[in-house]
Amino acid sequence: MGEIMKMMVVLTLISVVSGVALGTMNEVTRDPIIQAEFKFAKEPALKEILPEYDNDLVADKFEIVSGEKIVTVYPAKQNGKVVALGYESSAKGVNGDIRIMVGIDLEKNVLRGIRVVAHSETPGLGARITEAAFSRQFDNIPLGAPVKVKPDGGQVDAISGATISSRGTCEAVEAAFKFFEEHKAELSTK
Amino acid sequence: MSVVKEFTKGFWQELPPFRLVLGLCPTLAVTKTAFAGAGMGLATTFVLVCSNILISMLKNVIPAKVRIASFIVIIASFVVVVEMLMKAYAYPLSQVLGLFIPLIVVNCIVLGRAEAFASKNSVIDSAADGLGIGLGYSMALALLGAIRELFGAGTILGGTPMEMLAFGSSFKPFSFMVQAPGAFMCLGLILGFIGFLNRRYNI
Amino acid sequence: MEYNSLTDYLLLIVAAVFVKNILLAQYLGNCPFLGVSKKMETATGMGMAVVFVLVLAAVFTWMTYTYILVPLKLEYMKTVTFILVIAALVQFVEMFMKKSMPALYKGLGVFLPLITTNCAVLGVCLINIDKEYSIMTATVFSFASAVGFALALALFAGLRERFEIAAIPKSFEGTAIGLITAGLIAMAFFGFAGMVNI
Repeated sequence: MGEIMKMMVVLTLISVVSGVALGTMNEVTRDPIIQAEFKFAKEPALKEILPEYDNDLVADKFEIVSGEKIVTVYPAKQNGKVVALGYESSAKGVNGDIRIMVGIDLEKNVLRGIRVVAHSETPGLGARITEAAFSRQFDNIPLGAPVKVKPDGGQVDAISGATISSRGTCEAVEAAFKFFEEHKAELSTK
Repeated sequence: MSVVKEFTKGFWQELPPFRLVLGLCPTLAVTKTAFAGAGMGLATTFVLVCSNILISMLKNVIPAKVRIASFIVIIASFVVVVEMLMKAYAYPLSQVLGLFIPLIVVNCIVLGRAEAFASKNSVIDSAADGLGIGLGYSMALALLGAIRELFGAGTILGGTPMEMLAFGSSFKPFSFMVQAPGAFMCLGLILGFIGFLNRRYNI
Repeated sequence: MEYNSLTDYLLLIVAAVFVKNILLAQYLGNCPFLGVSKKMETATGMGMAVVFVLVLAAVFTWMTYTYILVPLKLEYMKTVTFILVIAALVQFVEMFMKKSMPALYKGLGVFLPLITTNCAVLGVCLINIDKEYSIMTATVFSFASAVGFALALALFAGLRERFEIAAIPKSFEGTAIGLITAGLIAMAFFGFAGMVNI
């Protein structure tokens, strides 16, 4: 009794107060966090690679389960008709995942373009995959076409000194095409 | 008078990364730009001030044997609060700092101040101590970030609306500076310079 | 990437030890790196203690997260829970070692309390969750990361012992020259960059 009891009570009280406080905090910040994530990480990329749209992307987004991954798809609509889709795809780079946002044009059946949304490539070398000169090369590639860097017999100019990062970006695009093929039926019904 | 002293000692005599050589991991990891360094410093300051105040208030309630465990829970809770707030209201910064926000928990500066200062002193002194040490830490991180950014990316205040190019657009960034070896060496040179000031002018 | 075959795991180990060395490329665990690296003996002791605790901590935090926090939807409590689990684990290991392995305790005992605040331990536990590793992958990755930590620490201590007989500018003695040396080792480890992707 006495000291040990006091120790237990104090520790338990501190932990409970901390748990309750953090729970409340979590409730309060949940919506702002989701909004901030969209505004800073997704919206700028989506705006660039999707055609003009007149719908609320967040309200219309839906999720598709692909293997172990859950992919969030943003449909761009014009007058209520879905004209393009935006979603994320990823592949391995030098130091970690390269995550890109792709814009799929459903009317012309082409890739409208890609934007790198997250990567941890080497500054000055692989990190140059974010530059427009590199990412523009992916504009208007027909859906399902092979996407490879020139050293692998493809059409994309690799960044000099960063073949692995360039190849990773191509793999991410191919993964995006594969996802589209596999879930075509699901995507068209939503 | 003592409050002022507790506040100002963090700016030179007990300047954490330079004089006490504490809290090095974030000092090296997130100082790729002055903005990120300052952001990390201010997040740490928030945790330091809040945990110092609370621990000082509870110093007579917490039994000595579970003192460290209690401090850790209190500090960790404030760290999670910072993490959530930053994600909600300063998202780009939270992406830059990433893993190093939860790691404020194990920043020796925070637990060090709780144990060495807040658990023995009054609430006001503890708050002044936390604020002083935290702001000193922020300045040190911002300084290191500014130097690495200047050479490593060629920008001043990159990532903020006031971003500008330091050496014109033809400058080829010395990207070594924003990578790990540059971090170690840059901090080493600063410490050497402080050692020099210390020996030569005895400050 | 799925880690299924032995090759995958070997690549993961090489990557964690050399390519993305936790100390030299990820900046985790610098306080003990500079603090206990003056002598080879203490450096190897610290390295071993970190390997031991980090693997245990990774398994325990992974299980706590997957079987307690996720079902209760308390994922946001992970930082608080993990640091408590690590602190408790370190205490427990210390008591257990003192009682049943006195020889080992004599070697590693003094380093154990320092490990609670080693950000490499909490950092790796959080990375395991962030990257959604399976328990097996998490264990292997944590082990390899800790080995990388021990390796860098031992290399660094070997160099630092030579400072005793080197002519170092007075202002740079101690931590300053230590950091510059660490920078050189980090640069050497850059040679491994791009060898393996994880």
